Amino acid sequence: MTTDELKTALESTLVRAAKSRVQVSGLAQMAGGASRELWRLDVEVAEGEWAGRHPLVMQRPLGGKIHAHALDLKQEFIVRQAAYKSGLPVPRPFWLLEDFLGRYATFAEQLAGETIGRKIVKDAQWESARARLPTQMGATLAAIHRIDLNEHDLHPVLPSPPPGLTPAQWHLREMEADLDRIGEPHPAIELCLRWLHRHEPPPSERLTLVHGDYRLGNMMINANGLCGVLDWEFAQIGDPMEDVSWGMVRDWRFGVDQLRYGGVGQPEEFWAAYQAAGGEPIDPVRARYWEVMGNVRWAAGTLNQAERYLSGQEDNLEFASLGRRCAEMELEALRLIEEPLPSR
Amino acid sequence: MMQDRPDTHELIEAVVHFLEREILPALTDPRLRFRGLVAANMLAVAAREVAAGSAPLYEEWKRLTTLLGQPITESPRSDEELRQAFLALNRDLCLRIRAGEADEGEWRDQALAHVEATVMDKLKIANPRYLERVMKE
Repeated sequence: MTTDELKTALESTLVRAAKSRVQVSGLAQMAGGASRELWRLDVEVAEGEWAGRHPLVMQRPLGGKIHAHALDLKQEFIVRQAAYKSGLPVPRPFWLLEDFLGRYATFAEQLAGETIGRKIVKDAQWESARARLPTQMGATLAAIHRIDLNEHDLHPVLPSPPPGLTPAQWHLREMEADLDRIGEPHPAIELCLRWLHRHEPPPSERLTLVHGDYRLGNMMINANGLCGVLDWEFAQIGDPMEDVSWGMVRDWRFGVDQLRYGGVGQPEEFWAAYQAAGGEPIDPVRARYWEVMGNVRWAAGTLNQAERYLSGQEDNLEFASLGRRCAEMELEALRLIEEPLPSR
Repeated sequence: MMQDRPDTHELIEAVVHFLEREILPALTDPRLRFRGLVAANMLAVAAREVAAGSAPLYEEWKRLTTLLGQPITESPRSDEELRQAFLALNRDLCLRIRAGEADEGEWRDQALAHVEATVMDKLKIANPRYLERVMKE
């Protein structure tokens, strides 16, 4: 299908969602994820509640699914709407089409700014913006964890730990199943999994909405710092500490290793903002546990994605390259489990 | 048969240099440029692996058999035999770790030392700059 044909199809289909005549212009494909196709477009709505000219991003699913529990576009749209209605900085969700040319399509506000992690942590242009990020990301994360699951009817939409398992035990079981399925022995990961089994702290008292991929790369940044939390496809019901420590995973520091929170600050600064905004008090021992978990999950994640290439499911160069990156996360996790636990 | 030069390593290096000097600077689409960088990196990994030869593999194999208490009776006769022997030994190690044998004690220290040495050997090929950065901390 040509871009012109897609534009024509959009104009006729969006009439119902926008309850108005619409004109589509500037349709162009953007760099997308592994499971989604992203398009930018300007939509001119003639009348009604959506009247006006809107720069939007359209998402359409591709064949693949990065992870068994990843949300589909409809589920993700519901979660983004809950976040938007709760006053969080997320691109305003516009429409969900359940059958656009046989697939889902979702439309949301197009934000201006930068998402590429290595640019945000290093480019002089983002110096003052990145200084604000630990505080902004901490406060925003606390707000995500306060989203009311019942009010927004999120329970039927989100994956959650099976009965009898804590979120940590759920992740460990999934990783062990993944490793067995892939069949390449990884003793380093196994050692870390045993450590995680033996050092599991009690779970948070309240399980919450967890973003599931809360780190630079999934944050839209402008001159004022954080302006949009993106990529909600790994949202789930889980332990809020998972999100708190995910940004400490070394790979998400984008080379600025000494700034241990996301390459932009120290965890203590981020934790203080999280707590000040109503997040649960941070116990450094639990934060360490989830930091190890994060590194091990990303190590296992690289193997999963490489496997998708090796098994012929995805003809994607980046997936192929990830197989050889596993050792980076393994080394970090091994170093962390050999360190003494932090003092409380 | 002995092939003529450039040898495997030299062939790969030549392509890496071509990509880095002539192709990457000519790419304007940022998405394509990023993938070009990834591709050049992957080839550089292959070049380092070829240059290192099979010595690190035999080192790891010796360490593994010692750790698992399986005395070396006969060295593998081919690369394929070595690969299969590796998979079997590493599966055995993984099973023993999962069964809790490396939870504590002297064997834990030995297992940890072996596993960490192996991960570092992998990084010498896959990402030596990362290894250097982390070890300096």
